Amino acid sequence: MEWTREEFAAAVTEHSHRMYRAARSVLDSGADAEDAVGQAVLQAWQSLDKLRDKDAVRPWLVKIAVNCAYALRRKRGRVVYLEDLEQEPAAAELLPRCDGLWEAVCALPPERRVVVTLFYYEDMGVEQIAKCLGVPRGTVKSRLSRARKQLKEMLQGQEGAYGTIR
Amino acid sequence: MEPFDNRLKAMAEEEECIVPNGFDGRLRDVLESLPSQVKKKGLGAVKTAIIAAAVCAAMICTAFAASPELRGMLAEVLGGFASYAQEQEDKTYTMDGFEVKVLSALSDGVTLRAYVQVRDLEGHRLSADMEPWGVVNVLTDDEQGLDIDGTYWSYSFDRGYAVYDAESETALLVFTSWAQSFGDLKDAKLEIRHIYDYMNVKYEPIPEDELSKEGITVGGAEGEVGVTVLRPLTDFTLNDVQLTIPLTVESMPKLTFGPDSELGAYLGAELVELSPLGLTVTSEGYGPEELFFNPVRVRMADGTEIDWENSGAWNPSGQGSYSNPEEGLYGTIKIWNFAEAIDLDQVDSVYVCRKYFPVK
Repeated sequence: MEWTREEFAAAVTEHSHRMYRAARSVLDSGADAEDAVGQAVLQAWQSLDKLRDKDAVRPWLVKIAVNCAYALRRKRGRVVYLEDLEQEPAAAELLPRCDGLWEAVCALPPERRVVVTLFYYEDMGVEQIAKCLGVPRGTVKSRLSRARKQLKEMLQGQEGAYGTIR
Repeated sequence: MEPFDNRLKAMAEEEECIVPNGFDGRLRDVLESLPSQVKKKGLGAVKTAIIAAAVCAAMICTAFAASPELRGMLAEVLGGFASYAQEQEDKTYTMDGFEVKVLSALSDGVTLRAYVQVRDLEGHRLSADMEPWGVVNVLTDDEQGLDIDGTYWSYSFDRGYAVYDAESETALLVFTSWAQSFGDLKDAKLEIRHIYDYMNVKYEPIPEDELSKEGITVGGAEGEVGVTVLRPLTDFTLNDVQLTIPLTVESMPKLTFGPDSELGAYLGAELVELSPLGLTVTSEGYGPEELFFNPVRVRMADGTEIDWENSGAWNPSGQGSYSNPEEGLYGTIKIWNFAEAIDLDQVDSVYVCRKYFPVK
């Protein structure tokens, strides 16, 4: 499949915010998420011949961003940043009340954050998420199920087009 | 789909995706600086003639020596760094059905890199696409993160890359680590936990009774039969170091710039070091933010410029932080490794934070 540089740049530009959000769902800092997106753009550019269907470019770019984010998370594994040391991990039972969905998603544990992002924001199905993350479908379903419970609690009282979340 | 799912999807659709300030502009810079679509350094660059000449020898050879094709691959991968690389002890190790031998190592005191030859004795687990993980280090795991002379140490390491010769089913793996300082390198070693291609590994479920022995309990979610915990289908324990190989390596020469130099003063750095392998900036505190989002390169006396190895990313090759809890001192270190070896005698200037700084 042939891509011009301009076509590739246009596709990346169109989906870059999604790529950032997907990377941010894996990583704990915006700077790292940006770095992962940069790496993903470079990797996507070098792997364009593996994309068989131009219409599938959005999930393909998101998947590469997620993989680059995981790679970066492993890389950061031994680097301790002072701001991380000063933060206390949130207790599982002390879920904050959140105004928006993304705020609530960011309060989830990392493994649930990424499946929620791919399911609700990227409209991916369980099967697709399982392939993207390299985990079984049951794992995706289980993480989604636990995440839903936590999201319900954090978003309680939120009103919207579908009524109030109780 | 349940009503709550519909509600969340509607919320997701309505929400604007917030990105950091300047994100779009920086992305444009990345897109404008994309390289030509060539193969990754080292991959596919092994000359066919070298492989053809050596393939028979590789197939009948039972001793695990650095075959001609591997020597060719090593030379290709090292490039200009070859003159700084130090040959390692001619000794072969085995782990997980692999034969492992360190061919070469090099360091500038903050970057430490090892070139490792691996052959699969049991199957076909190696490939050109695999991403190996390994750590080259001088401190033991126990010493990492602990108080040493009043200062906490930290280091980071990157996934390595592989060059693969399909004919001999042998791979050349490259591991890189970074630290505030590797000291005099006399205790340098390579630690390998496992070798596998994580992108293509298959998984198997771990039985619950095995999990409970490790103190891990699992339970089913509502409506679910249970939770499955998986492990890669390889015979290893994820976090245990299986192989430790001592390295013989000395630091290569470098230029240093203190806080009173033009470069050091501009960056607010305690120390800036330039070696054939990389540029290192040690700062009190976090250092200027511009360091993160701008490329680093070196201009040579003949006008050519050499970029750092990963100009598509915004963060350096390696970075870390260190602190002294009693005195409250802390600092950060950022390291950019170059795509080619730098001849220090021929360096004209360093480009960092969008400015050129003469080095002489």
